[in-house]
Amino acid sequence: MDVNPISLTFARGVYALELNNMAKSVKEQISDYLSRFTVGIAGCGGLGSNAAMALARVGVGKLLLADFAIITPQCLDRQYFFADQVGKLKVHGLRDNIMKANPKINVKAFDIKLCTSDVIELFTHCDVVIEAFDKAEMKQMIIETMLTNLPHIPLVVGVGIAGWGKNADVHIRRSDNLIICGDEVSALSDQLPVFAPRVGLVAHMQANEVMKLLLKDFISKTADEP
Amino acid sequence: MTITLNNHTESLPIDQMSIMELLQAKQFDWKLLIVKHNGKYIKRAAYEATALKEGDDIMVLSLIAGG
Repeated sequence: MDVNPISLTFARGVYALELNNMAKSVKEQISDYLSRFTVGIAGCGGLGSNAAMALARVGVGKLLLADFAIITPQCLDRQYFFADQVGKLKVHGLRDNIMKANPKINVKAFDIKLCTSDVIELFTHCDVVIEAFDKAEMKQMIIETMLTNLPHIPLVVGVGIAGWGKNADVHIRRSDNLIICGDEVSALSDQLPVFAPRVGLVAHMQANEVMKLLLKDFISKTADEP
Repeated sequence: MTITLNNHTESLPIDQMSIMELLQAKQFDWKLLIVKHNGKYIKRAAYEATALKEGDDIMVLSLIAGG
């Protein structure tokens, strides 16, 4: 392979300059910044497992996972688990997968079916909470609890994820600290199951919204600054 | 009476309306709803007793399964 000796020398020079500056890239600065935050994940199925992995990869310091279910073969078509994890608790499987992707994250796994008092106790020190339940009754319970008892903590919910396609119908809607992601109409049913692409789309939308909330006061430092 | 419903301006033909009547008129048929009235969470038991007034801001979220 022909390599232009001038460009190679130039590239080496730039690399050496970067090392000398010891300046952190914007990505590293963001990861450092996010390490101070705690995010609660209520439910570790299609929404919760995928959102949690995305937040772990960007460096959110502490994740509180809550779910009572066990990984079954039926979870594997859309949730962030693997075949050799069937039979494990979802919170333990997800904790293991997060640690593989980013060992720096502090993960607390709670094997629990959340009720109102648990939500208040568990999430009271969170910076943001993600609602990722499958049942509508559970969604209502956590929204009602957070709006009533922890209204200062942003709650990012996923509503309307079933089916496939309809990318443009998925939207975000904000009402103070309640942030709604999804199409708000596609309910899970026998005729309209949940599939990996669309639940992943909404899960990552939730994670992206959390990142935006956590980074609202972030200011990146350039190499020129002290 | 003009109100804001889910970020859209709505002109209602009558001047007296409860949250319950609004939900029925606008066909929010799902069993489980979240309703906020001027930013305040309203419990289901209070839908009937909560009257709307000119300029109110109502947020309704229908809760559906899937997650």
